[in-house]
Amino acid sequence: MPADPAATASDTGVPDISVVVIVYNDAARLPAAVRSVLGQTLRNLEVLIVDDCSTDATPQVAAKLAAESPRVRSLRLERNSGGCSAPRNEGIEQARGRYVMFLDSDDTLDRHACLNLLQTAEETGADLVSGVCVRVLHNRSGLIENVPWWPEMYAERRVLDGVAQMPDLLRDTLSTNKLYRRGLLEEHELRFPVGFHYEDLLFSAKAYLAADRIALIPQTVYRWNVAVRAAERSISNRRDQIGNVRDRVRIHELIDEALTAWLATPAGDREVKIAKDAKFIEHDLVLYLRDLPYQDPAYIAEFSELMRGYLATLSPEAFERCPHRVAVAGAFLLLRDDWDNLVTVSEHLLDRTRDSAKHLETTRITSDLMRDGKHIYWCQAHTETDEGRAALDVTSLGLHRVAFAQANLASRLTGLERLPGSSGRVRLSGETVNPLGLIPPDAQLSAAVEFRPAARAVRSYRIKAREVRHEGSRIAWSLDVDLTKKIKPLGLIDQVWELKLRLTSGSEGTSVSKVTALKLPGEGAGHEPTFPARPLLTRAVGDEWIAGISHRGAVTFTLAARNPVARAVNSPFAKATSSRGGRLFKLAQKLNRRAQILNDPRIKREVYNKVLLRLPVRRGSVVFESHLGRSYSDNPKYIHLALRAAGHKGRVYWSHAGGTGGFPSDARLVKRGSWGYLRALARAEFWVDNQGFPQWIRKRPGTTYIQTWHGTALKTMGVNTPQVKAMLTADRKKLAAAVGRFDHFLVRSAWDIRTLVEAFEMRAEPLRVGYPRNDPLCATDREEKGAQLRKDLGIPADRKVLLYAPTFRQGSAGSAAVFEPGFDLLEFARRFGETHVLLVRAHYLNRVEVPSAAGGTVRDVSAHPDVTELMLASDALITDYSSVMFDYALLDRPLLFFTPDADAYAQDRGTYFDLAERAPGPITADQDALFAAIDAIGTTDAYAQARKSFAHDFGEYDTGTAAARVVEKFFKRGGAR
Amino acid sequence: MTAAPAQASVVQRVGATAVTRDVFVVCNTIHEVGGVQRWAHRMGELLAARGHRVRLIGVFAVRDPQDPAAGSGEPAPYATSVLHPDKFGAKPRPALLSRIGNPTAALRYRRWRSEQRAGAARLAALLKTAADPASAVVICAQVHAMEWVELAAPEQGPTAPPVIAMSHESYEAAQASSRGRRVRQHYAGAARFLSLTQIDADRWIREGGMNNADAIPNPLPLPADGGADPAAQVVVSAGRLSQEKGFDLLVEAWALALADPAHDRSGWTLRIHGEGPERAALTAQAASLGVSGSVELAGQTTEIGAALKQGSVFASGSRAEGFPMALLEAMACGLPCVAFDCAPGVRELIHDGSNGALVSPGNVHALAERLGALMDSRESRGQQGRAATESVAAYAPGRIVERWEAMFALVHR
Repeated sequence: MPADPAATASDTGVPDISVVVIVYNDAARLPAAVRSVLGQTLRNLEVLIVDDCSTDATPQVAAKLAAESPRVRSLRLERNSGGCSAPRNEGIEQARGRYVMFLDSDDTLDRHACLNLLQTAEETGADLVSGVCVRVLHNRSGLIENVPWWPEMYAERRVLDGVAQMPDLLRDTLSTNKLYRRGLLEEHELRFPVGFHYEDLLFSAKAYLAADRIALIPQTVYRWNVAVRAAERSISNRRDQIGNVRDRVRIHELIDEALTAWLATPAGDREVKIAKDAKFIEHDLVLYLRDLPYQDPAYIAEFSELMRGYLATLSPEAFERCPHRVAVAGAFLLLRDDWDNLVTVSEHLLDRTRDSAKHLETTRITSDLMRDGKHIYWCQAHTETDEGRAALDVTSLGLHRVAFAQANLASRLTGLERLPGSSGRVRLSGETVNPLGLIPPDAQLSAAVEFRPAARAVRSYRIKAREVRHEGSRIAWSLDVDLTKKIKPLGLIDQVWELKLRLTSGSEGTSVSKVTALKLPGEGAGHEPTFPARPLLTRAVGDEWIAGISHRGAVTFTLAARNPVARAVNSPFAKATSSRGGRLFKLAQKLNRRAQILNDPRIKREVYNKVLLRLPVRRGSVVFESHLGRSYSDNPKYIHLALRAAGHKGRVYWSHAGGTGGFPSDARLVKRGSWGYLRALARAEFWVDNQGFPQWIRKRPGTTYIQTWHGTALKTMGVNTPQVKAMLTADRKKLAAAVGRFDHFLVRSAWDIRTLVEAFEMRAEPLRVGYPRNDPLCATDREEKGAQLRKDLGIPADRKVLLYAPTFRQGSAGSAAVFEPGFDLLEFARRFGETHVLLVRAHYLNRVEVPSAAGGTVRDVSAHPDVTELMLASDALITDYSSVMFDYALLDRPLLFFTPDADAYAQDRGTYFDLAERAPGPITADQDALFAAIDAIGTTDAYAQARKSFAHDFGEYDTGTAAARVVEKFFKRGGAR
Repeated sequence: MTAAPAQASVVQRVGATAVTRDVFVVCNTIHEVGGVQRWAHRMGELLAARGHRVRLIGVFAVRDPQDPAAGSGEPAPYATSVLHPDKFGAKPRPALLSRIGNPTAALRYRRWRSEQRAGAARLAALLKTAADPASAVVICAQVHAMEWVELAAPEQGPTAPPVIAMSHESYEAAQASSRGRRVRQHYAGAARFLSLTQIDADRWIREGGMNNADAIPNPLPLPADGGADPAAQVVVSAGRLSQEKGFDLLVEAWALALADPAHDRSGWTLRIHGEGPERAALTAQAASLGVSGSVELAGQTTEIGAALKQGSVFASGSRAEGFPMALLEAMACGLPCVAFDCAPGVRELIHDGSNGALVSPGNVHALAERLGALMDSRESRGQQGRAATESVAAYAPGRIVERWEAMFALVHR
């Protein structure tokens, strides 16, 4: 009896869909693939298993599956074809369904894929319906990640009358996430090309061109199982073989033939050809460029010839329009055979993980770059021709705007020499690029190299450089290290170690980059040098360092086992890299997956409430947080500074949102939401914060919460805002409970009590001490401090400094919206370039784009965490509705208000008072008025009195002693709680 | 809905064989007056009228049973059953640490589980009563009830009818409660998972990972034939007087609109139909804002159509909506609607400026301004009221039932 009950449900003779499942020597996974089809919500379908003449148990498994269900047919090729094409074509020939789909034996279909695709096909009359393919990454650590393929293309449902309506569709080259009308395949004789890899590229391209109507759906169709760093790469993943390059180029030539034929038809549209060519540059070419310098010379020679031949056939517009400018530069350099500069392109493209790709694209600098007016070119060479300038222009990447501390500067190892004495002593030297003179010749340079495991960094070591030298376009450095005595791995779990250069330049901060090399220099030339190693788990787990270069181009030291004990101990771990074996490894994977469950928020909440809150309070411990952990700043920072000055003995924690840059090294840093964070909060005696710890976190009676808040209110707050008005009772209660945690609330004046304290219906005691962050604004040395800060910021002493600090503007949901200033920054630079400097500080949820031409005069200081310092450094403030106006008034320096959208803003947010009536400075609404007001600064001061009363009305408690008084009240022995 | 015409063609194809089916609608409860229950009874009537054999199944009994279909005087054209006639709700599963630390709670929970299985067995038996098991469908209207449907399915054996799962609230509202997680847990395998708007369905797909998501809106309870007089100086509103429905915000906006010195709106009345726990608070609020004279709490009405037609504008202060039936009814009666943009259902109905006004949630000033603008212009009331009636034609019962029948056919392919 058939074991497929759903079969009885299909009563019509013709299946709606035929799913062609191809298989070769994959008896283990075939049943899962077939079951994913039989378990579809659509029942009226058939499965065609096409076996590419397997030599394992596949035929028996396929026969069994066919016997179990009348919906399954099993076919077998007479000879092995070695690819995907022949079996899929056989499936098309044998299919009876009205529609056809393809599935590989190691992948699965989503349970609802067939019904979703069929429904869309019938509703829209599409010949081809495509949905999301999810790459299921099976990491070595046992974790499984789902990564959608081209998600942005499938964000919306779309129905296209032909591919010309969306030429970018050609980027999705998969054949498997799609439903094809069988008639379409027959009418156009669409088949997979036999004898090539990358058969999908041609088939999908031809199908797009043939289809009169194409529909896209946002649902997941296909789950593509990808084993990350499997020991054996699968056939379509062996890029380092020249045959693959040949196949890829050949396939693209065939696609071009199909495109040429299509262009001759009435439906033809050249935009599609251009889009396909651009995709070749940014996708296919880049795949090979990344590791090109690491290939052998014969490969490089043949690769260059093949690629040059093909690149020459691409449409010129593709080079202009391709958004991936570094790939275009690479293509151009390859065509010009400029190997030296091409290598820097490869270095830029290499070493990207999915998480870091976006970031590295705009911060990784591997070339010297060249500036000419507004334009930045990849290299100096070739820029004398128009063609070269067009291809090498990488201005849009913004590499020239990257701050030193954010830049990832290529650091190459140039020397590796043994030193006399211990056999582990070695001198490493290298050089770091200095693009566009980013590091000035007189910079105070220091450097250290951090040795750390490539994955799972349990421990790391920092070795200071013995020498750092500025050599113009290069920074040379060298260090001596005893690899045996100084660098001690644990063993077993941290075998591969990498080097990170930490280059520090005066007050500009520290730039971090991996140390890379094309081949090992000096001692390492020709062979891989070895050094004795002493792991913490003793020599029973390893005894030798082997220097080498990873597939990501990084210089590595790998812990190896020479002695028999260590080899025996390592063997169960070593086997784990193969698909079988490694029981210990499998167990570790399983435990790791289990451990992930612990990070479930519900578990965290329960453990926090039931366990952590019962641990004893740790006397004197304080958890600080500023702006939800975004930075070390604002009132909590100044309380921390005062606490440190007072010699506080208890534990000090700082919460951060992920990046620890700028946070103090003497505090314990805990990531917001982590277990460490919860434990610190549960046991802390004091919480100090300016916005709010997560709402669900309960505060026990033994903990004192000092809420410092972050600014005087102009905009309506709390129960007066639409957001709170729109809340349902449950959310209102949660908000009230969260505010109910506050024990003390810092206020600057009675105004704060009338607005903030009332709006949040606080029970907390108002603490009338003023804001700690404003202490420096009231200090007697504020002028000297300001002058010093200007110097640090590199502002000439003769310029007037204007601080422009607008408030938050809503952008599209979720994204950090770009703030449009409302006046022309370039025009400002032209007009005031000789006399003024404008420091633009966007709200921390916004960002601002400063045109590079305004560079010297207009500076984006949004990344500067401490606005107090910017206030001290400035001569006047321009703002709109930001609470910075209330603090700035304390300085008694001129304020300018620029509010082009006053009406809309007041309508949208609502304000407690009419700014126009009480503003202690001129209010301007357009560029001319603003510029006139800037001109007028210093000539007349009609607002001196207004400023004084403004400062008093909103900041009468701000006397410069806030931080000290908070410390005095709470942290001195016997202080209040 | 992009594809309404093509769907109609599917209906025709199936309609040729005129399939009449056994349709089982499972809700948490059926004998009370709530949004889901009203929907269930309405669907029962509509589907029965097309010849389908309908049975409404409530999981739990209610303490004070009411018949949402009462008033017509005729017996309901569908059957009803209750799985646990002596139970009024479920015990939630105690949290992990409580299960370890409190053995009695764990024991109580196990006892409850066995009762639940008995209820599921009763459900399985009911499903077996289908006259034609091969064409039967189950509609599970609430995610809690899905636990019973899931337990009953194995007892059904291989011919278990396909399940169409439903969520009668917005994606956002589901995510704000435990239902977001439970929808993913219990509904992911259902043949289809329906929201009330396409916007919600798409969010379920993209953000909630629900690949079976789709949408069919609620049918119009009234004929879409207009009838409101734009000359009437009455703003109407209707709904249960609860915090969620936001009548406090509406009264606040009303006071602002009347206080506008630039316009004389003294002849106008705000009439609110409905009862609920906030009545006293609203009366007090109106008094403190000095608008007692113009705010009329008219109480519950059985003739909602007639009540709506006495107004010329409909205003809502709602903070949350699944699918706003009150708006739908008002638009059918030819009233332009002013409301907060609090849910996709509202956005789907109101096209700002053409058949009403949509303002950002909680912004009472904007609500007052847009309401006032409609009060000041008889012409736009008439124009936008006509547009409102036209725009709800897609929700006519005939059209909605056709979509349901197409859905039944789809899940049986």
